Amino acid sequence: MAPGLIWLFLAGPVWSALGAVFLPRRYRTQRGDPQLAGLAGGLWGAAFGPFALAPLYASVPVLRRGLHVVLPAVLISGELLLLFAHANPGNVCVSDPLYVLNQVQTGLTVGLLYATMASGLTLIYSVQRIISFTHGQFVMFGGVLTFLLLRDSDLNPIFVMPVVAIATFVLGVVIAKVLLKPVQAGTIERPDEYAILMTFGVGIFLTYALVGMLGNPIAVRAARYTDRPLFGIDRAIFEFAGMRMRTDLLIAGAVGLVIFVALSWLLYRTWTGRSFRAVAMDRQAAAVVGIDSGAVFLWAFGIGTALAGLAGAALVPAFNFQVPEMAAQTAIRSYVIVVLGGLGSLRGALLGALFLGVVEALTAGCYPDPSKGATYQVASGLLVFLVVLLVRPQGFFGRADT
Amino acid sequence: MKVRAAMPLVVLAILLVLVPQLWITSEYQLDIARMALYSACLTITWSLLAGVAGQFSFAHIALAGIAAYSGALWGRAIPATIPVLGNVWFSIALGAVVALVIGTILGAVVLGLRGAYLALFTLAFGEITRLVVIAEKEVTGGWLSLGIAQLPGGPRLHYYLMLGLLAALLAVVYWVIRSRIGLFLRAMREDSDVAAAMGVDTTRLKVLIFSFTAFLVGLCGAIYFHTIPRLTPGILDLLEMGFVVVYAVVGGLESPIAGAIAAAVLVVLLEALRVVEIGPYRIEPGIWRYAGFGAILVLTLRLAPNGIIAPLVRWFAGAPRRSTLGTTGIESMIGPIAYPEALAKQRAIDLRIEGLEMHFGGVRVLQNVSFGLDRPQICGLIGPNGAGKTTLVNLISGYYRPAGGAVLLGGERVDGLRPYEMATRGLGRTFQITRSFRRMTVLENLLVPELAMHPTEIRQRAMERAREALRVLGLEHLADEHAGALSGGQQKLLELARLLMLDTDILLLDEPFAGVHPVLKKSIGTFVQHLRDQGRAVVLIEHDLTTVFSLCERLIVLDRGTLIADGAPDEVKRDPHVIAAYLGIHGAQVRAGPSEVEAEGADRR
Repeated sequence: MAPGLIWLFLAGPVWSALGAVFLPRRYRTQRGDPQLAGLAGGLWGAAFGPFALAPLYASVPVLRRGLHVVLPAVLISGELLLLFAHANPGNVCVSDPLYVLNQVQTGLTVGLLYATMASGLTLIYSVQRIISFTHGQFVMFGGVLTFLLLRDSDLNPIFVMPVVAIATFVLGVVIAKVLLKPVQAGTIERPDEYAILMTFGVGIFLTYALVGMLGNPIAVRAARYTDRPLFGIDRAIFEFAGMRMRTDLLIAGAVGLVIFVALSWLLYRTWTGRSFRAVAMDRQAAAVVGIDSGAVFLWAFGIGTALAGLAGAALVPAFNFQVPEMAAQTAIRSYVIVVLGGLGSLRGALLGALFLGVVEALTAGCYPDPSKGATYQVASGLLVFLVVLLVRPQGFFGRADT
Repeated sequence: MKVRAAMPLVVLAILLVLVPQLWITSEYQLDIARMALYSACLTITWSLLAGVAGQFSFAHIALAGIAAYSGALWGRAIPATIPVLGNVWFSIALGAVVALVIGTILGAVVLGLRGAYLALFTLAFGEITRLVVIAEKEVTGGWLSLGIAQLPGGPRLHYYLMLGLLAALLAVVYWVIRSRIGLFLRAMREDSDVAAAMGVDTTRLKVLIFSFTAFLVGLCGAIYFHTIPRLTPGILDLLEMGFVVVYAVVGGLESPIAGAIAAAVLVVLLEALRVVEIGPYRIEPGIWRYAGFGAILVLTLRLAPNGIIAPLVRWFAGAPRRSTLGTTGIESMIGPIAYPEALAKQRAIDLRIEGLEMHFGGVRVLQNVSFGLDRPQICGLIGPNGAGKTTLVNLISGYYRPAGGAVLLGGERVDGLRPYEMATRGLGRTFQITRSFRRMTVLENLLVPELAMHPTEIRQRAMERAREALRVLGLEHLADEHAGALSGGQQKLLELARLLMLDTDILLLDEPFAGVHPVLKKSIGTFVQHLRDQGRAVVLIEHDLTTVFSLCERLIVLDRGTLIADGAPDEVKRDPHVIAAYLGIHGAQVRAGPSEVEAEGADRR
């Protein structure tokens, strides 16, 4: 079994390439839609090599996404897992299913926080078609602010969140109004480049202004949710059906969920939200019906920033963090999520965030060398990024036009 | 180069050579000077990639770091006593090659990505490189740092080495910028789709520029860090990338030499601000200096988007001040159109479209469309909005792949070929919305297709032909203006001039008359007729039926993705299907279905 499996994986990429190249040619002459054929050929080739490709090549069936893309993708994942289990028989992830389950639920909980973070990025993008390269810094700003507020008071972390939200909202609006106005007003030649460089510059400023305020690059541990119990919840660990959950993390996840639900309500149930979505769909048409796209941009940027700040505020009482490392790492997570889910899609941001949360938790928990797990936790995001870019650049819930 | 332009460069070079003799008093200062030169090298290569080619990659520093680490690891693994392989220069070359390979892979991966997506991916790549270097401490030493073999000679020699590298880099980078590759890179930056339509292989160009700059930055990194005793993951910090961006923007993104000057000045400034003493006060800004750099970047972008140094460099170089565009009357602007017979040649026209199919998602945009072009003609392509006209043009010219059917050019299957290949095979197109290379001069706009179509032609001849085309369209007096400064009508003319340079047998014109002054409209009409008289076949999308009937000798009518009529205008005019489609009998009103939205969206990209 094992040598066969490994052989398959060494040969897998070769068969994958063969399938991706030759199946589309076959379909071109037979049925059309070579694009899907390329994907199917690549995936089936990787999964079962010639045994899957030969029947496809011979019979040229009508391709369906479920059967010819999702199924082989699942099979490949399964084979990879088998291979992993075989290579690391002593790994705790292989020997203890409950541990894996525990990692998954941790990942999902963290994913809820990631969703808050990423939905801010996606909101800004949908309204103005720019990506904020300051997003990670806003998360860190929220985190540092929370840390400082908690240090100087004895409130439960939840009660400082409104302050953080307002502060980051104002910060966002000021940046949008003063620095990003030319993008919105269309008064510059290359708005995309300008937005990238400008938000990147603001990011550098904010990063080192925060480091300067704290004195040095430091590791920060803020007061935990359970340090200042609310409703008498002060148990550090929650146990349920054999799974152990950190109470702090659960509370943070719950906060993330509440924020996400509130955001959905705002976007889909209020007129403000509807005007956002109108501008996102068609700026000119929105202008015709009397929506001021400039004001919408300011609001969206402010709310997007506030979401980042809130994510930081919710994270900090559950995890230790490092200034300034936190900025780049959270930023990368947000980018991976929005690309995975499709830029501009709120549902995509949620599902992408949950997925990334699980992938990261499994990488951190299962990486053969535990001391490196934390590093590759972040790096696993890049792998997800790469796969999405190659397979489906518009993301899984995005529109094809991006 | 003119003497006036060369003089400041010579003075600058002499000053830089004299720096260690005249001003430097300690080895530490020499280190800073060397770092300033290295930063200048980084900025030059990034300017080429981001400013000239428009590829905003944040993986630049990571590539330099990868080269340095590769060289260092090789140097540690191979004893220095082994000839060639153990030599420091071999390690350096190896580092540069590793950077080249990784840069090429990166270029290929990000091929389909533009703007922000590219920046996102490369930023993540750079950060993860750093994390991996920190984590794999058994190999890289992690934060404990890694010893690295030193280049022979002391700090003074190393200073001159970096100076030599800088000079060589400037020479190479400016040679590239002035070559046809540089022209194509700028065209790709301005509008990748149009560059492809003009016959530029943008795919290869993009990978090429990634590889090339990766090699250059890898070389710089490998050389520089072989003069620094130890490597730490700090060299991969995002802040280092931030510095390069600041230097490039403060210099002026499109001007590598301005970026280099900004880098040198700012590195020294950063060092000088370590301790500030004003009278009795002593301030140590420390980390706030970095925040200050962020502020400099933000303020420069907001207040002087073209950079601070670049305008000064241009002034020193004595570049001619651009005349402000006169708003003369439109007739004098166009002038009489005269056609040199030199541009005419023997043409064979054979384009066949067979059963073309296309759908976006579930929407069928084109169904079983077939027609052919076999002789010089002006063929109108008409139909209500959303009929699939632009989609058809995009399919034929290689911007979309058809879901079914075939496009044959000269009897050969060409569907699925890329746009530039269609151009080089003799099929040219324009875009519905006028798209010029805005930050290039009018003359350069024409040189792009000319040099792409005739790779071996010498520049002088190409310029002559471009000026000839400008004269034909009455744009001669605007040759040195930026295309972005032209009026809408002038841009239309520029687009036609580009087609003249492209000199293809078949032309697909997507609404060339849209939004054009009536007088100009007439001139363009005459021009199109002349293109036909020279033996070309022109397919013309147009909504104004008067224009269509006056110009075209054949009409093709599309409605809801199917071809409903094909023939002489008089027959088509009486065709009941056409009347139904245009006048809305049977409730068939003018629709703006999703297909049209898609097509226009694609057109804008």
